[in-house]
Amino acid sequence: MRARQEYNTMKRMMRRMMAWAFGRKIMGIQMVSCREVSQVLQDYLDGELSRAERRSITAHLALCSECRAFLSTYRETLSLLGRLPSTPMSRKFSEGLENLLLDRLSH
Amino acid sequence: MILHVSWTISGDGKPNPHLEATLSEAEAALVGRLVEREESALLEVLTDHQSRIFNLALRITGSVEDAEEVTQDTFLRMLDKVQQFEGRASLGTWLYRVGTNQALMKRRSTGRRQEQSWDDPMAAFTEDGLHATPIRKWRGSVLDIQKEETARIVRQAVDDLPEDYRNVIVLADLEGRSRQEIAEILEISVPAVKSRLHRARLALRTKLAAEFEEAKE
Ligand SMILES: [Zn+2]
Repeated sequence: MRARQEYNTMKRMMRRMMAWAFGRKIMGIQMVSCREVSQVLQDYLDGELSRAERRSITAHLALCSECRAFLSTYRETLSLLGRLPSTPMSRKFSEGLENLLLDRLSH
Repeated sequence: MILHVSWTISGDGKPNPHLEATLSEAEAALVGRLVEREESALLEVLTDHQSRIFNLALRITGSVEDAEEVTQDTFLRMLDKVQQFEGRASLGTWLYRVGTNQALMKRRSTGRRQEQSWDDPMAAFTEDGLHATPIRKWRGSVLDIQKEETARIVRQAVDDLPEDYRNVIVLADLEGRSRQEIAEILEISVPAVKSRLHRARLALRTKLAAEFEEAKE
């Protein structure tokens, strides 16, 4: 119970620190918000960000477990879509189509 | 299909490739046989393309009945047009274009369902720009798309998307078409394709998360 409380306190503290950092430059890296990360995920995955933008995202991901989970589930969404199995056509329709077209062909 | 590439330099000094596809000899011969009304040529085309056109139409229309109608109309149109077939695109590309347009029109004309309202994906953040609700990983067990249940959930989520979102998701992420091609098919700009696609993916991710997230600890 106590451990749980402490964990939640730490988590709140992390969120405060992150919110403080957004928009600031730390060690030469522009810190961006979770919202900004989600806005550029597509460009990030497509490799279309500048080096500096990329570093901002990488730094954010290193600090933020939520955005890491967000990125991994965004990727999983794309992967599921790309592997969606095709639906077989019914035999009845396929045969009907073939007959219709053959019939049309001979006229 | 044979691709010819030529380069021009645009105003900003960037080289632009121009691709022009011409029919390969085998494909030109196939079209020739179709023009001659050869049955074997028709059967060959059906074997090669019907399942692809049907699935494309099914993904856009969300209805087996509509997809069958679109598939039939697409091949009927091919028989009508084969004489004046320009030969600038491959037969497969031509069928695909016609099938896409027919399916988009079909979906629009039926308007058979009330579109669900979708939350703006950008609204899921606090004022500070943090995630408003905890983001959890997804259960590994649900990520097997070969599982009927998973495939059903993904199909349903795509089908429930608003039209603009659904069309770009289907063409880009299910069918693997390029942004340029999608822009031409939907008659919108490439940047519009990109921004719609991103918003659609965010909306879809949120929708799937509701089904796939690990239980709260
Ligand atoms: Zn974050």
